[in-house]
Amino acid sequence: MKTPTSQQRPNAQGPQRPQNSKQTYVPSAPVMVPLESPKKRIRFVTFIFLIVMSIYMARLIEIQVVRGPELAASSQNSRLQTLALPALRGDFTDINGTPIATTVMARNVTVDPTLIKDPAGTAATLSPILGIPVKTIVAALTVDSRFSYVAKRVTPETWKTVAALAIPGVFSEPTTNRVYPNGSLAATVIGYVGAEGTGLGGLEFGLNKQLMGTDGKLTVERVNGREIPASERQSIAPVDGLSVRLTLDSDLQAMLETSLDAQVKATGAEGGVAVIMEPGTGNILAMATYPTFDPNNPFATDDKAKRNTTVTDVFEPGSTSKVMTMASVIEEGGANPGTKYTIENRLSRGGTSFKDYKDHKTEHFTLAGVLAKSSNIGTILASESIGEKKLYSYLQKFGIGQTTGMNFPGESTGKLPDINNENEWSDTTFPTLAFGQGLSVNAVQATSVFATIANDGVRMPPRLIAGYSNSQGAYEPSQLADGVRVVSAATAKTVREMLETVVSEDGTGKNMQIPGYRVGGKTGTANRYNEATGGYSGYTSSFIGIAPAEKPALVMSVSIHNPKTSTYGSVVAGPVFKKVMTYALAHRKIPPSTTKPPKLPVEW
Amino acid sequence: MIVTGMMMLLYVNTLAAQASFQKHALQIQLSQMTAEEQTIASTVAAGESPGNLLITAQKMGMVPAETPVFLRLSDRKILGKPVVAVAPPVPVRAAAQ
Repeated sequence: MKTPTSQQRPNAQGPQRPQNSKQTYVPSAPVMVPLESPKKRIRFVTFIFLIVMSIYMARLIEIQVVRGPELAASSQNSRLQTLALPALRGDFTDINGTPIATTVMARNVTVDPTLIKDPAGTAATLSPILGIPVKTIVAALTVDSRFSYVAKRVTPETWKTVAALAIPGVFSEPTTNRVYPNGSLAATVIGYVGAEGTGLGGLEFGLNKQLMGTDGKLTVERVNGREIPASERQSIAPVDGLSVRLTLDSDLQAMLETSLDAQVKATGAEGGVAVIMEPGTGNILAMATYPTFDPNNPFATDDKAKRNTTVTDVFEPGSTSKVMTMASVIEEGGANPGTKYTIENRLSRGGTSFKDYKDHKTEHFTLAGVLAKSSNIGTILASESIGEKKLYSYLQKFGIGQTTGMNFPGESTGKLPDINNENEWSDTTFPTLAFGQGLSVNAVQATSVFATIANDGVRMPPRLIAGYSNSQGAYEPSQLADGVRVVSAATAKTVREMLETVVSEDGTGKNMQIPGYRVGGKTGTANRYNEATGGYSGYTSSFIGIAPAEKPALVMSVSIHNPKTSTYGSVVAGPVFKKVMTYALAHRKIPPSTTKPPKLPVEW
Repeated sequence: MIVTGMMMLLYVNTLAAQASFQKHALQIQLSQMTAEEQTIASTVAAGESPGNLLITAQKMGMVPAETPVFLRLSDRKILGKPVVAVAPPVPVRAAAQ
């Protein structure tokens, strides 16, 4: 910069400015301005300002006060989510805690059909992973809604595979799945659940309420799936269902099922039932049915095969029922094992001629022999020493025609004709009942009769549920019911000795001897009552036994319906008893007998 | 004072938000691991099941012992007669599961 220029500038500018301003401010054309006075202008602006502000205020009041709560709620609702916290269904375990039914986490695969661009292609991708036909998936993807299910209860691994595909519009929701890790083990006892997870059969149905528990819920504010910290939340914890511990021993159960299954098939029979009971407690250690089903896939089997026929079905017990007649006669002093009977080929009672299983010459049997040879005529003669009223009252005490008290769904109590009802009680009823026809029992009742004899004459109500544990794992054993004294301990002991005679070389049950153990039992072949035709057709072959006879630990009954190869209880049902009882004695660590069975004379 | 307070508040809020993210991630991990655990548990239960054990044992050539022998400690007596077990002629229920 040059000094002269800087000096000149103030001079040059000074006179110019007024000149310029004068030029612009030329009031050549005066304009009418309404607010030309500053006072008016201020008022005007203030007025506008107040109007605008009051509009704002009104809006604010509307939002905050008038619609305040409503808006707050709706905004919160967009963030608030209520999640169902499903209660886990209780498990079933056997007496040792081996799981028989359990609940695991699973996923329902859901879809928002509006987000699916290519239903056919998506379905083709999903089909092999989910194992569902393409057609079914396409149907789910093209529903006119924003939500539909593609697959229910898939495993977490399957969902992981689906999720990895990251198909827009495909989501999942958590759920649970009922699984039976042992497959068909005890299936007819446990039952099964339907698609919605509620019990439809067996104990799953009978104990549904206890197993279900109560669902909880969780309400949280969430953005993009994440909780807003310190946001308002409300949670009701789910209460898981009770877990049921059964009295069943899964090892015995498996052994009984396999043996029964094999024998029913080998004899060409229609079906069969078998029960193992612990006489001292009434605990049922195993109960097997044929047919049975796979509870993991229950709808593949006919409903008929899903019934626990050990309690739902009744049959006429036949000769195994003679043990009740013997016990009553001995208890009442009508006879003792040595009492002598002369047995003709026919016996006429109430206008009917009764016969034994096979025609025979006149036999001379003791009471023990009558049981060992399973003579119907001998049993009728013995029962006449106490009369029909006493026999009737003992049959009642043994629990015939009454509920077992197990509360098993669909239990059938069987039938004992009413002595006070003329229509039910005819002249032939008494002799017929004495040898086990004309009355019906379920397999558990039949087993319970022998368990009563095994338990020194005290009948323990059959028990299937050992106890319950809650979600915290606290276990509460179910109460042992009080026993009912049916006959004296001495009578029971005498009857057991007679049952050992049945399994001796002299008896019908000699095939059921188990080396090292004293075994008592009774064979049976009964006419099978067919409800459809209202008459008898076919047979029920059975064997019920006690081991060891001197100190009973186990009672087992095996009944096979309509066998084709033979009708003898010892041939048809016996092998199952022998095989499973041999295993059971070792499995339960029951030491062999140290005493010899008494030799009761069977003939005179 | 006020500025420090505001800064602290911001810091605490950030921490809380971060914890929330972490919680979400951990929850996902937890549910995955629970599912995995359940899967393994059911595999074990299926393997342990008497039916499968029987089949596996028979495949390995094992035979169920039918005559158990007991040693009574009180008088050192052997109860029962040991007999060599023979393989059952018919395989028991061919692989039901």
